[in-house]
This record gives sequence, C-alpha cells and structure tokens, in this order.
Amino acid sequence: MRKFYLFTLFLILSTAHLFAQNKLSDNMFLEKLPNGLDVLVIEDNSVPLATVMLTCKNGAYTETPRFNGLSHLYEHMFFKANKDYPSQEEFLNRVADLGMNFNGSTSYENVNYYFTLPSYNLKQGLKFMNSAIRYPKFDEKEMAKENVVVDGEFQRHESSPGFALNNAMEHHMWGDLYSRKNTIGDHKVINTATPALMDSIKNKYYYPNNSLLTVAGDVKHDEVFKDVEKIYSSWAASTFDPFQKWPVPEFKPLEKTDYFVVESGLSKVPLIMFEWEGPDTRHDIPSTYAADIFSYILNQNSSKLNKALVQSGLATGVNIGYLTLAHTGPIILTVVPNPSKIKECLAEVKKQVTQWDMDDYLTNDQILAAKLKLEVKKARQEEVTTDYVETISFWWSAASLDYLMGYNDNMNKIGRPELKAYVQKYIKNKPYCAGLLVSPELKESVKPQEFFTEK
Amino acid sequence: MKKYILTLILVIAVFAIGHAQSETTSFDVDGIKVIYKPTQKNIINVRLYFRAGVSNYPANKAGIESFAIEATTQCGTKKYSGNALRDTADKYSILISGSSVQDYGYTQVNCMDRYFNSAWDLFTEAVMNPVFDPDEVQLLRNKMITRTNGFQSSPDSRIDQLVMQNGFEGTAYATDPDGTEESLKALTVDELKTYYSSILNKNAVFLVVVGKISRDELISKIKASFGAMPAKEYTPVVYQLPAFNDNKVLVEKRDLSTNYIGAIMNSPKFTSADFVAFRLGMGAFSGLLFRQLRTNLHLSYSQGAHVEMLQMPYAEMYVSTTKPKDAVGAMATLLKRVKGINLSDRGLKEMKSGFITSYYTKQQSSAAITGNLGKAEILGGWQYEEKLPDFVDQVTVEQINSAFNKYIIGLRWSYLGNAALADEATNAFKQSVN
Repeated sequence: MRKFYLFTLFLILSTAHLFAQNKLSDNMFLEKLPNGLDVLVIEDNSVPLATVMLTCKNGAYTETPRFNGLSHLYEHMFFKANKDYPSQEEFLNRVADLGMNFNGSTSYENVNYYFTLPSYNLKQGLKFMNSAIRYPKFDEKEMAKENVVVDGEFQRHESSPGFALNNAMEHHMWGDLYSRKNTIGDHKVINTATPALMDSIKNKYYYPNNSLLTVAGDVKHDEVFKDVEKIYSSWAASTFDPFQKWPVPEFKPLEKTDYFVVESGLSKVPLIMFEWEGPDTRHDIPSTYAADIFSYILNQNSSKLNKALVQSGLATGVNIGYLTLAHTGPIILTVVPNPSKIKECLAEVKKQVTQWDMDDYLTNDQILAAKLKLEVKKARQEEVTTDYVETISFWWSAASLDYLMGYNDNMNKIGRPELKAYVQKYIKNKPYCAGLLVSPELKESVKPQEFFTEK
Repeated sequence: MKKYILTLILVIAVFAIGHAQSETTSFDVDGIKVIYKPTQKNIINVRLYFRAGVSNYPANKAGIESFAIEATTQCGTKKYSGNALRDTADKYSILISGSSVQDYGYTQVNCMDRYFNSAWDLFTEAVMNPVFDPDEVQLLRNKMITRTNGFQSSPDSRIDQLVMQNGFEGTAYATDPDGTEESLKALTVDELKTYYSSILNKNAVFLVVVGKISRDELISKIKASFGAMPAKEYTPVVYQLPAFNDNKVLVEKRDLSTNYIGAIMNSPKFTSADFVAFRLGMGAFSGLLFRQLRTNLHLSYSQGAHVEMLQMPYAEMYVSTTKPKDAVGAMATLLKRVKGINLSDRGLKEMKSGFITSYYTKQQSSAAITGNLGKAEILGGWQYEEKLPDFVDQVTVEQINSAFNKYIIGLRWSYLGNAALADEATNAFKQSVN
C-alpha cells in the first residue's frame, strides 16, 4: 500500500511538478525512530501544558462486518488497564496523580489517544502512554462492562435527530462495504466482543511503524526526542504491512442515482442531503485541493448556490463539504429547506448542480476568498495546540504530514480549470445518493414520496 | 508528602507567571471600559459585551436580545448592505456574529491580525450603525426559528432547557434567550430597533480585546469609532436567587434510545468566598461520577458535574442512561457520601493539578480568552478569571467540605426519555442528599 502510494505520488510529481517536499513550520520538528515510529514535536509555550497523542492507522476502514465497531471498543479498552497499571483503579489514580485530561477518538482512518498534562509532568506522561499503547490488558470482566458503556455512546448517537438520515445515507452510499464507513459499529458486535478480538486488532495494527506520536505544547524538541527514543525504541516494529496483508477493499463507483426518504419523530427540522463519491489521496491529490476550494467558494454568501437557496427563502441553510480521505472521501451537500417549500427547494438544488462547471458560476474574487479562508482556517486551528494535534493526526492518516505542510502552497496552484475538471470528474452527471429527513407530520402534509425522486 | 505538595504548588505558580501570554489590563476610553490582553498569535478577537440578558425583557419577547444583536451583524448598516457586510467578511475571512445568553449579550469579531482594519470597520458599523433591513430581518428570523427548533430536537439541548425551566420557574431564567418559534415570529423590526437602542449605552457595555495589537492603536480606534455611543443611566439588576432546599422532578416523554437526566443544586455566587472551593470540589465530584457510574457500575457513557457560572449560579450533575432508577440513586448516594469525605492531602493535590490543566486548556484561543474574561467581568470582575490559579492554590479541604455542606441541600431533577422508566425512578428522585 505504501509502495503504491509512493508510486502514485511520483507520477503526480513527474507530470505536474506541483507538489514538492514541503518544509515543516518553524515550531515543528519531525523524526522517525529506527522502529518506524513517526515522532512530531510542536513547540508552543503560550500555556504551561503538554499534550501527548498517539495515532494509529486503524478505524472503520479496517473493519469487516464481524469487527464493526471494535476499533472504537479497542480505543475504550486502552483507558482501562495495562501491564504497569493493572486495574482501572490504578490507571485512573495515575491519571489523577499526573493532573491529566485524557480522551480518544475513532474515525474512518485513524484511532487516537491523548493526555494533556502540566508540562513538568511530560516525561511521566510519555511513560504512561508507552504503558497504555504497548501493553493493554483485555480483561474479560472489564470488557463486559465496557461493552455496555460503548453501547451507551451508540445509543446517544441514535437519539440525535440527524442520526437516522446519516446512517441511511451510509447504507445507500457504501452498500456491502457499509462497515468500512461506520465508525460507531453494530450493537451485536459490540455487545459480544471478546478479549481475543481485541488481541487480533492489536496484533494487526498497533505497531510503531503504523503510528504517529505527537508531543505538543510547552516542550523542547531536543529533550522530547531524547526521552521518546529512550522510552519507545524497544517497541518492536511489525514485520508486515497490515494494509497489504488485510487490504481495504476499493469502494465501487455508484451504479445509479438513489433517492430515499427517512421519517423520524426526533427531528423538527427537515434536512436534504446529497452525497457523491469524491477523490482520495492515493489516486488524485490535486482534486482533493480543488474539492476544498470548490466547497469554500460555494459556502460563501455571494455564491450562486447561496443566493438561489438561502437568499431566495427556499432554505435557511446550505453547506457543501469534502472530507479528505485515503479511501474515497465523500462530497456532502446539506440543505435545510424551508418546510413549506421543500419541493421547490429540491428542484433548485438539482438546477444548481447542473451549473457547477459553467464558466460564469464562480468569480475570480470568490476563488481568491476561498483560498484565503482555507489559509486562515489553518491559522485558527494552530491557535489551540491541544486541538491542533488532532488535526495533524487526521492529515497524517488521511494523506501525510507533507500534504499538510504543503497545503497552502499547493492549494494556491489550483485555478479555474482544475475546479471545473473536479466538478466534471466527481459530481456533474455522476450517480449520487439523495436523502430527505422529515417528521411524520411533515411527511403527511408535504408527501415527499411524490416528488423526492431523481426526475 | 506536605513538602512535595508545597513544591508542586510553587511550580504551578511559577509556571502560571512564566507562561502567561501577557498581563491583562483594564482602562477607560471615552467612558467605555476596555479589558485588553496582548498576545503573540495571529488571531485577534474583540467582543463588545452588553450588560443585559433575559432579565432585561419580558418572557413573551423571548429571543429579542439575540435577534436584535445578531441582526446588527447580518441585516445591513449605513455603510454596508447585509450582502456587502457578509461578502466583505468572506473576502478577508472575518468571523462576525452576535448572540445573547442569560446575563448578557455580545457582538464579536475574529480575524487574522493583518485584516484587523477591515474587521474593525465591519464590527464598528454593526455596533454603531445597524439599519435592520426588513427583508434581511425576515431571512434571519427563518434561520433563528430553524435553530431553535433544532435545539428542541437535540436531546442534549432539550435537557438543558428543561433544567432551566424546572430550576428557575417564576424567574427571568425560565425565559429561553434563544426564543421560541412563536416569540420569534411575533417580534417586529421596530421592536428589534428599539430594543437594540436601549442596550447600546456606554455605561452598560464594555470591550474585551485579545490579540496582536498595540494599546495605542486600540485606544485610537475606540475613540474614533465609539465616541458617539450614547451614555445613559444604567441600574444593575438585583437578582433573587432561588433556593433548592428540597427535591422536585420534571419529566418530558420522548421515545429515545437512552434517557437524558440532569439535576441542579445551589451554588455560591462567583464573587463569594466559597466559590473557588465549591467549583474545585464540583470538578472533583465530576471525576468521581465517572469512576462510579461509568467504570464501577457501567451505567452510562456520559456523566459529569460542573458549576454554571451565572448571576444566579447553580451546580449541575447529569447522565444519559438506559437504567434511570439505578443511575439516579447512585448519583444521589455519591453526592451525599462526598459531603462527608475528609479528602487526603494527596487527593487535594491531584484535584488542583487536574483543575489547572483544564483551566489552561481553555486559555489558548483569543476567542476563548475574550469569552472567559468577559463572563468574569459580568459576574464581578475580570481579575477573578486571571487570578483563578492563585485562588485554587489556596483552597483547603475544610473549605471544600464546608462549601458542599452549605450549598448542596435539594435537587431539581429534569428528565427526557422513557416515561415508564421515569416512574420506576420516582423514589430515587426523592432520595435525600443530606
């Protein structure tokens, strides 16, 4: 997989001369240990804290239906017990002792774990992370308890008004590969998970050469590198590439456009969602930049889309976004229609999409503003170092650190022809899924089944 | 052990001084109070606070302050139409917005330092010269109605609304600052204009500025832009705090996969001598809820406790669970037990250490800092926020125990979810914490 990725990157470099190796920011320092562990240090002494985050390339994209939700359960078990802190009580006592805030997150293409603590406790924090990531303990009784907790998180998702539409959309978009895009998982799989399944995940993915360690905050990079080397060098690398041994299947292109209506008594606000299969960072990096710029143009107040939907009164909100991923990033258009004009709103959305590649749909000012917005967005993300580590973790797994560091320069090389090409390659006249979320009362009055169709 | 603790406390204090982005100062410019904190990062945030909130208007006008202030940033000014204002904001990636909560309203702008002149122009136009264009007001009204209906649909937002209704019935806090579909539909353009004029008053506003800008430049800009702001008499509201001395429960039925439960209790005021000890103790109680409900009893994924810092403050504990009877009983039992615990020195040290980590985590972005300083100023003085780490250092176990026993007496439970399971928990809701 890595080889293939490098080959793809080489092709892009040799043909377009666009994406050169990029320099890290002045306060960022990167090293790779001999065992393959990427170690990134970000110095920011604005507050006396340090954050230690360990990111592993695991997550929904590695999950077959039998494992659906178990990357997330594994993330929970990380915080339970390990060789050095063998019970939950001892683990939490150490957390309190070091003054740590901790959490983790599981997404499509990574799982991360972090501790934020007073910077004078950093060395102890690095050791604590080492114990937890390398030597987790999967006790059967503790797992049985945690299964219930993880299922409780699932139940909260189900209780939110947008869940029914999102979940239906994932089924319609990804079909047989639904589990590869469903982070929260399956109730039955979660509730019957065993320590053996946790071990299986650990033995496949939890190796230094599939991980990134980020240390950020009020720290000195040379000291951090020394400490990390002492603590993590003995972590043995895997002898295989998990993504060659257990390849993530390619998502097949949608065969036809698919409209559906979801009825839910939980939502008082109707919602329309359109979703296309977008580019990914293994096959088409230029289009990932174009996708971001195009989205940031359409989300501007002056865009034709906003004028046609929001300023006309057909909708109270519209947003388009692209999620950069290594495996088919989705392009999602979300519209909050005026409840009394859903039919007219849908017709206008369809009309707008047909115009997205026209020469006069975008202005030069909008293209410039979109690029500036993306640049400023990055500056805003960098402002909060304890959060920025998660942003970095996302890009490391979805693309690469080099992609992130070169983001502004490479984005600025995208122009009108690339934007047009992106729309024609991924959106216009391409099959897509469209879902409508309505309450039973609204469904009864507007009868969406009569008009919420492709034609 | 004591020596170790003292060393740690000294370390915390030294770090606090050594790493503060810079000193916050306060001064007056043409009759407007300004709180100013220069920083080194590239993002500047400015907020103008209005000392108003839900006690400043009748319940049938719910949402008027949010609507009026947001309209100043969306519905045109003398210099900019609504579209021109939004387009200029887009052009320079400036974020400008207005909102209102229980005790105050605010207009804020956020930008890269190199675009500050453009941002300041939009901000001051919105504050000083809004025109409330009727067509724009109608578009904003529709957006606000969508938003308020969204809050009703979200169980996390809805349980917050129920908590306020149940705990503060008969007071101004029973009014939702975001309004309701009915109240938002009824508000007229003239009402919004009149209301905004009433709160634009040099004696009832203050500015908080955080970012890479010099004090001299700031003063010059404020003089040029806000000199013409009217100065009128301002009488602060005197709040009568409700006392939660017994247990009551409010249940709203909703067919959900899990049930959302909150309970509020008395809290000392922000400026009270008991406040920091109580807040520190409530932070520790939140950790205990995690240990007991999640890791020991596996009753919940989400639980916790915090102090809601308001003019009429309260403390809250919350949980989402499929077993309400067990979870509610466990929460009440734990709360009662905590009131009698004699915390060890080590426990106190850990409590302080964790609290300091949380405190600094919320001191990173310029927007977070203007939010923290402004809220503290509304509640009694921005200096309380700035000196919080020092105050925390000084808290003793005796102070925490005393504050918990003084304030935690009765509970106002609110419940969103399965009604039959709420019935089963009837006795648990009545369980005394004394």
